Amino acid sequence: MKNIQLSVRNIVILFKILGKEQLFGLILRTLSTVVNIVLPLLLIYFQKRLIQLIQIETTSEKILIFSVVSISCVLLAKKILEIIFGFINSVLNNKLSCKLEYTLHKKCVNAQLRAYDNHEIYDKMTIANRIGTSTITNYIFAFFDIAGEIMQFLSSAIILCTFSVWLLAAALIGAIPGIFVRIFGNKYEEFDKKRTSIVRRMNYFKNIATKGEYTKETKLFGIIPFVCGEHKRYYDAWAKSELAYRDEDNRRRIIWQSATSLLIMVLPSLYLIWRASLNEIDVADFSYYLSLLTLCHGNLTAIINHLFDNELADSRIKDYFEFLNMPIDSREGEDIPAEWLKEIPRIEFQNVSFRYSGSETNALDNVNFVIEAHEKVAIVGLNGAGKTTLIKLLCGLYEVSEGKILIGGRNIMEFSQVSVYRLFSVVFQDFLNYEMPFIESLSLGGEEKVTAEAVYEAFDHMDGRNIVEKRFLGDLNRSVGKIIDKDGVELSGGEHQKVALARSILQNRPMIILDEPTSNLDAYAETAILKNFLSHIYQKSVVIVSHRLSAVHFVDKIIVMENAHIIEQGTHSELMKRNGKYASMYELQASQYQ
Amino acid sequence: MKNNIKKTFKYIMLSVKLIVAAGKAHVILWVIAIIIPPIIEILKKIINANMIDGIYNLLHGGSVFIPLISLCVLVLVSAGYNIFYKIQSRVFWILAQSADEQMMLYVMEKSSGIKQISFDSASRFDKIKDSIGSDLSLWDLNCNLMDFITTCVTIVGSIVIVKNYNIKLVAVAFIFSIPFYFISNILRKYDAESNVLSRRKTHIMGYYLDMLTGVKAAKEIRLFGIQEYMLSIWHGKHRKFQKEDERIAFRQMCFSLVLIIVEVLYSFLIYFVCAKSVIDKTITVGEFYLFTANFFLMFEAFQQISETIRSTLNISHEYDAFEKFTKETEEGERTGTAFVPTEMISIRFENVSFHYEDEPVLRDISFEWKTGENIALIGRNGCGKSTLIKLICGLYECDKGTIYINDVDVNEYAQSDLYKLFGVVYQDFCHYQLPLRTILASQRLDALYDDDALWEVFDRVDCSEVKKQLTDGLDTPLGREYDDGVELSGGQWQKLAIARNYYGNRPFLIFDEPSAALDPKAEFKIIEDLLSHTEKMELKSVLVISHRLSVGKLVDRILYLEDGRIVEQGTHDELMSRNGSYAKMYNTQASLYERG
Repeated sequence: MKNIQLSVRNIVILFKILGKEQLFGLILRTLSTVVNIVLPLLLIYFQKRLIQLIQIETTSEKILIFSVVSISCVLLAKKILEIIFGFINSVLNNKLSCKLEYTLHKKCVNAQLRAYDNHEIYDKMTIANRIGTSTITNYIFAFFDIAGEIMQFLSSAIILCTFSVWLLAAALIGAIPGIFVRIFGNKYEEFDKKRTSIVRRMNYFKNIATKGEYTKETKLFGIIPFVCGEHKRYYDAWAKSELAYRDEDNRRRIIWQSATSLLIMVLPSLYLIWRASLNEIDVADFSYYLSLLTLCHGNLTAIINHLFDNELADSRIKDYFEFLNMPIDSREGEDIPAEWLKEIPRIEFQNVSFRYSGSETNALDNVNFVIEAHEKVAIVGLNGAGKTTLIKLLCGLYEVSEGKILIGGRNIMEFSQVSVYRLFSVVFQDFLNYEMPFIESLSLGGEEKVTAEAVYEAFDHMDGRNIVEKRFLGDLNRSVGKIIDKDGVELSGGEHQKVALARSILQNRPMIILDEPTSNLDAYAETAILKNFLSHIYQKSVVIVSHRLSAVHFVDKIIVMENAHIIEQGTHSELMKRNGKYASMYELQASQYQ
Repeated sequence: MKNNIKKTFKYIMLSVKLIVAAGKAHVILWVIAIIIPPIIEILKKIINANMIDGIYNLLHGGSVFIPLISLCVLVLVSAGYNIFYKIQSRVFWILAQSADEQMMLYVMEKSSGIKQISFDSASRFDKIKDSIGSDLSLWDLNCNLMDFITTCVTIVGSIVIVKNYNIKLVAVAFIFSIPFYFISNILRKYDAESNVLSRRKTHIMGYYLDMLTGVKAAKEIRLFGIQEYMLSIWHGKHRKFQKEDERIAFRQMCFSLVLIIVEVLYSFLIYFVCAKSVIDKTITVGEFYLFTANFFLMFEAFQQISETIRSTLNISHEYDAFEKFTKETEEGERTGTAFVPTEMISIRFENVSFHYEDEPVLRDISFEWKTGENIALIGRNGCGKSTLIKLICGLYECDKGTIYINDVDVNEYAQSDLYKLFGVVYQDFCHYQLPLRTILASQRLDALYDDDALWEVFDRVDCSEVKKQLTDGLDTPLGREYDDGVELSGGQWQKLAIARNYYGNRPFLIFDEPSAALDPKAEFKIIEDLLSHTEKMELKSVLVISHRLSVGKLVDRILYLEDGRIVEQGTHDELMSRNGSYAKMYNTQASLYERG
């Protein structure tokens, strides 16, 4: 009952969308469904007429031609409709899935970042993404199909009834083995799902043996025989389980098919022969009723299959809409004052704690600090101390669990999240490489498209002029990467990092945040960048996260983090005097150069 | 064309061989499987016709037993055939699987034997990328051959049935099937076009999908405020692909319509001629059923046969891929005499040059590395350090100059033999998704179960956080590839890679940027431990690449690389007193610490 309710709701929602997007297609599809109900029945009827005609010696050629032509016309109409069906389906499918995917992506990009950390929400998101909109579009076409099948079933059932209720009974009972198989049979998808890990491992080992990124190791290690052995092991396991499944399935199928053909073919034939021996029907009726019975049975089977298939689709579509209705959209609020975009005011963390959803411990615990306007701040600490989390809170990607973040004396929660983002240029450790024309990739996040001069200037600061000149040959419209554009330019890790750093300057936002900015660069590039970078953005506030203390010790304030806490903060000389954690870390690194 | 046919013939022979190789029983089954189904199909039609005639005669005083007996025979034949079919498909499935498996192992073994340079150089890789790791299947060809023969039997069978009735109609069936050959050719082309399109679509749309919904992109998309921008790009691309799709689908539809008209014309003709014969009393009603059914069957078979011929010719393209694969993997790695490792080994480069895609990477390199000596390889990004490593461990062969090992030209030895001398941690080392035990022992699989030694190297790299997460000791699977696998951070993977290099226990150990993902404390510990390796284990030699110049003081010798040349060579103190490029680089880094 609940299922039916769900289906009805799904159908209504989908039809609304389809009606809005593709009303014409929808009407066409409905019309063709109606026509398609009548044609097979007509065909069977005309065939019967033909057989009846040819038994009469006096049939004139004209009547015969008329009969054969009518069969041909129905046949033609039926086949043409099938083809047009296919075409309309694919067009509707495309349009509808575009709309559905667009809606989904829009929801994703406007969701809060925490949606990605929350298992429950993220699972929903992946499911919604993965169902593939084809599930949904097939679902809606199945609705047409079911409607058509039911109508056809009813009409052929009525014709059968007028002759004999027994034949209708045979059609109904004949569907039972099929239902049994659907209910009790192993479902291949479920069976296959259990083996996905085997298949994944199999492909994994195949990749190790054949992919370029592995060969330099596999050759040296000499582990190819091992890899092939593992592959064979998983392959054999896969083949064995597949065979076992097939055997069982085949056994069941033989029983099911025999039962069905007994009910649909053998018993009705016997009955019809009996009626014929009583001279009640002729040979034309014999095949006419048998065909009707087969048609009727086919309709029933199709309806049953659709119903079972849709059960699965129903729950997936529910997931899709559930995800769309989740309250995870970005925070609304007033825009930040426009003058902040030129000069960012004082930022203050007051007793801020933050915990990732599903985690039992705080990723940040009671953190207090201040960044004054124009101040340059470094955050240092060991791996996993909470530095990156702090950055994400600072630029507004996460909302605090406890405490307050104040910008210019006002709580950050008062402002819309989107407008807060505009204060920060962030280069994360896992920055992205954008596959698009170089100049567009550099303009991302800026107010307008950057000029060539600005690009050259920015890359000069990065010690990276040769990226523009040598790699792109000065043509800023060439694409980065080869995924989208085959003629694009592939860059190395260090070059990508320089591009990301240059972009942060070109974005021209009031605060720059750099998370491990030089990890892919050599010593020369590192020094050049830190020097130029910091002098260029002299007017701006800067936050640098690094565990290379040499890179950051000359900033205005150093924040030392350990285990989600701030354990020390102050200038380099203050912290050295304190002789605490920072001092010992610094000594350790500096000693390597003495 | 002639060439194609020749090739197809060759491949057909190959697939026959495949069957013969499977055993006599299989050959017999194979022949039965080809011939029986069409014959049964026609037999069923004959019985059916008998039944119809029997029923027809009922009205004219015939016996009720004739149709009943026909019905019984029909049921028995169908049931028997059903069971036979199931058995046959089971046997064939097993055969197909084992053929696929053999092929897969062949592809894997051969692919891994291709020279490293073929993977790394873009132009060389372009040539092999289609064939490596391809899913070649010998079985498909066999299926094609089966289809072909089965169709032929069908045609012959149905001609035999109708030959006494109206042989002219056979010619008509043939003529009517000709348009199918041409039009389905066109349809095929459209199919191929739309396949290419959809592959391209998945590729490109996959990228945008990652951008829009992936975790990795989530932060930047928001901060940059480019949500709408990315969505609009996505939408534009989607529309473009959609239009292309529709264009192809529309054309396919038009051509299919032509085919339908031909088909309907044919059926009109058949129905009319046969019906006329019944009226003229030349044939019975039962025969009407039999002949019409047979003519349709024949028509389908004619279409089928052109289809099969084409797909056989097509599959010969697939076999071109196979031949290409075989050809490309033929020139595998260098073979030669076996190298017998001695206690002291020396590697000597004499005036070695190496270029890569016409671009010289290494020029005139000369140096020597002996057992027991620790070396640091230092230079700026892109100066050729990683390439030099690949030359040292024999993955690449040099263009000019000679590399000697124990004073013998390395070209005399088998490449795979020399690999055993080197344990390497590359910058982009692989994160094997395997149990911890296998990862650690991957360079020495014969010592896979030496638990004490495995724990020893594991503890040596200070992986205490990883140890806490291990649910099943050394057998805990690592990585996301397993459902219950433990995912590690970049730094932790790096530590494991170092540990596995220790465990490999090979005479020369090479570390390319071993501490890039580590924090300073861990970095310091690892590097110190690494370079003291020679003391802990006798006669082991270490080569380190690092941007941290502090390494220089801990090694016996520094090679300073600039633009593919070794410009300086010596100990840290020597190079510092020389005040050259190395000293300059060192001072730059050190000065960063002095300023405070």
